[in-house]
Amino acid sequence: MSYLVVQNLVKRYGGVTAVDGVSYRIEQGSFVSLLGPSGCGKTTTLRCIAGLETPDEGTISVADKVVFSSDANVNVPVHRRKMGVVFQNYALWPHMTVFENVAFPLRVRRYQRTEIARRVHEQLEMLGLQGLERRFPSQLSGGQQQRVALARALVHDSDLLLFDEPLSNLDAKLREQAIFELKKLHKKLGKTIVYVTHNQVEALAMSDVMAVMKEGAIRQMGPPREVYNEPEDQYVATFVGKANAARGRVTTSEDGRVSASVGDVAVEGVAQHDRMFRVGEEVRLFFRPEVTRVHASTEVTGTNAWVAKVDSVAFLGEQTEFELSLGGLAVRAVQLSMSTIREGDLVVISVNPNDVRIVAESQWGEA
Amino acid sequence: MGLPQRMTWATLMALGSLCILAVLVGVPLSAIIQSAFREGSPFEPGALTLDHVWSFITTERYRAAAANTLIISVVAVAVAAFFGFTIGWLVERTDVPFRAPIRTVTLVPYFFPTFIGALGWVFLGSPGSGLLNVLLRSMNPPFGPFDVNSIYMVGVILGLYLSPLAFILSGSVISNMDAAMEEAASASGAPTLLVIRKIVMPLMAPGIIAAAVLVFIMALQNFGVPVLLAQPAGNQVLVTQLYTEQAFGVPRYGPGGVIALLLVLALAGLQVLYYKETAMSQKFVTVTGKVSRPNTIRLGIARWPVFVTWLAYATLVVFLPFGVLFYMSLRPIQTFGGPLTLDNYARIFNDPVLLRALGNSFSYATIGSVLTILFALLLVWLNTRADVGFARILDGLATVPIAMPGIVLGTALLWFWVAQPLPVYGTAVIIILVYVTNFLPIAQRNLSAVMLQVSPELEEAALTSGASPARTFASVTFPLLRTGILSSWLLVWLSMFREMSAVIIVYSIGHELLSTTLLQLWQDGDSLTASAIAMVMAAGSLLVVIAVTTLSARLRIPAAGVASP
Repeated sequence: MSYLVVQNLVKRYGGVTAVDGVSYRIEQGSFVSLLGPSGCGKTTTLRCIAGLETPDEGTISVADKVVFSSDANVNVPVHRRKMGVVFQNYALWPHMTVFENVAFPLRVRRYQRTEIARRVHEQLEMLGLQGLERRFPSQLSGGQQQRVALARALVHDSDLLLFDEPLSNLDAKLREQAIFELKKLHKKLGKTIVYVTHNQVEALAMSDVMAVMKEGAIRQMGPPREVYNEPEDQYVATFVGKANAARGRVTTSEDGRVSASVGDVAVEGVAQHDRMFRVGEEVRLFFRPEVTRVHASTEVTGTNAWVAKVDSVAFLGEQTEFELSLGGLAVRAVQLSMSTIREGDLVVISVNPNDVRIVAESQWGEA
Repeated sequence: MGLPQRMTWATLMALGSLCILAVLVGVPLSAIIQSAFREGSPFEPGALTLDHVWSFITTERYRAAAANTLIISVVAVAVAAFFGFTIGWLVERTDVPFRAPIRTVTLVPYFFPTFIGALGWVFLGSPGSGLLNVLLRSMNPPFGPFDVNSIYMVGVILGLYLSPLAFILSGSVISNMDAAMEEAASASGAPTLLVIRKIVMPLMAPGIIAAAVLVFIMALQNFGVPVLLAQPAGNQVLVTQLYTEQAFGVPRYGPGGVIALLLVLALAGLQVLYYKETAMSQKFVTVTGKVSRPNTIRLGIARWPVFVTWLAYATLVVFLPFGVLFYMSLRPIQTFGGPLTLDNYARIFNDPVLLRALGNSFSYATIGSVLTILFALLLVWLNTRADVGFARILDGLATVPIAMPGIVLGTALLWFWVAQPLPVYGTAVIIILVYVTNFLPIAQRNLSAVMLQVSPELEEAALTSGASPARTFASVTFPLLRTGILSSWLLVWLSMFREMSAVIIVYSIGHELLSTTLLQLWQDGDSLTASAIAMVMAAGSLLVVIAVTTLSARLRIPAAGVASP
């Protein structure tokens, strides 16, 4: 039985439907990200689970207990839903010390004084906050505030943790560090986590399962590798990473191997989900910039290799980004930094056929 | 279901508030309209009539009062804007010496009611015995006398005492100007004068206009200065005209209603203008808190002459009037030179009426301010936190009293309650009603600002930590709001403690207040005891301010909000 079940969730604000029939199941102990741009309904979904918003329709159950159901007229108030929440701006109470902030969930549950002290210290130590007990939130750095907020969500040992963009206020370096720490913490504690973010790197790096949302609905849900490698449509492909996508027509299709022509260019690839295509069918060919190799030569060998012109080169330190044109087609490529390729050069680019996905044009849609 | 239950509870309180507001705002408004357009008393409805309007238009003294009001207000705005803006500019942008003391001293009159300054000017400028006129006469060749009771001088003095308000408002307009905008214009190649004309002036204009409109609003309804300075010479403005006709418990409807209505409409129009200009100037404020400081303008050899000029201003507005008032409160007779005595102060504590007024002023202001703050808190909570559809209507209704000058509100309530069987007129209740209605908008505006500083996320974090809504309020919301509530309460208390115009009509024997006895004594010719009362009022305010700020410092949170890393 799934641990968190959301069925047919609908939330409207006036005439605007913020969440439009979202359903998913989350297994106990898994880390699930809701990823999408602002206004896609990810935060609203999270707030509905927490009980901070009342949905208009749907059912939410946690650990086999229904906490909200529009049909059965059930709505467990926020403070009786057992969970930990980490807010985007941390929401640390400025009039309480670090100790008091973290102790609060235990105090409202009437834990004994000694037990409270023990648990709070244990929690602070685990997050590397020991010695800061008497500080006020305003005397902490951003990274420390974020960890205090985390300690407060963890301290009463609830099985469900909800995160609302907790890393968006950290600078790039701290965020990178926090991603690894959160991941380790999840492995260690085994809690079920729902994590809302608009940052694809966070979602890809930490989740067991990620759901890409748009306009109040889930467009694709699955393990990060699957979503990244086999996006169902243009929106998912471009939101999670960068994509080269070209329109073409099928010339042969056999056992999942597909050849297609894009203008004069012949491309080989793999049919998404082993789908069969008719010859002449309109398709999208999709591949990532980082699987696109750039060779400083003009000698074409093997399949999926073409001569292209370098339009621009951006040196980004550890890697270099290229914009190339192949016939009338714009192609992006990313390589570890090397070589002497310059703007205007003619080069050979190649892609392994296994890295090219072929998707039916009708499914691809607009971004 | 948890949440819908809380919603009905909130809805119930909102409905209750609506009823209270309907009485607080509806009663005076309908009294004014009925009185202006009906024959007889407003609550024994006679036939509809335009006679009152006609008699207002055709009666010489009403026309004169309207003209005087306009002259005094326009002169006051000109004077206040000139001094307020100039001093604001000097303090914010130039290297004039002693900027911090200049700021403090310029603000002093802002903390006292205008009638205290006016009383000081009675001693300084009355044509016969005024100190300044005595000095001017003794000069060779003799000079003056100038007449402090003339309409234009009343406007000038009112303007001087409104200049601190203009100083505060224009100071913030000037300091909000982002220097980067001027620098960008200069970098684009614009010469200085063009930068001022095309960039600085258009950016500051809405803020300065808003400030001028607010000063005009204050001038239009000011009672303390014209009642002490204009009325003795037989010059009336609209508010003193209303007072003269309505004082002492005898309601006179008709033209009074027309005057009241005229003032309400004028103030409502001006308030709309004020909000438009403020909204416009808000649009120009840079979104980030990062406003780069402009270069300080060097005054060069003009530094000290400029400072001396300010010193002359401060002498005329602060040092001389307040000094002479203090001096007179210690004099046995109203002359300069001779022995000093504490008799005037002793009289306050020996005279049963004055002693009662002292007690009443403290207790009524306390009761009124607590009620006002509690009600405003409820309204603000309903508007910002509860999910009640018509909370915005409550918000709007609660701001209506800003269009009613104190004297108009007092008069309207007198008209209504005198005709009712309920014992409200002649008791403390009517004074409390006037207080609450008059100062509700101030309380509400302040508490809204306080509430805005507490992010809803902090309360949500408590709820998701497992705290009930009641526990959340007690542990998080209230502790975060309490210093803000306290300072709003202090502001309302001070406003009530010093209020004269709103209560001068509705007070009665047994329910005298310091401000009403001050005016009474002065009208009876006892300026010396009146001065002592002014001093006691100032001291009482100061005492409460010190007590509350001390308490507030103890309650202060280390630093509100989430600090940046």
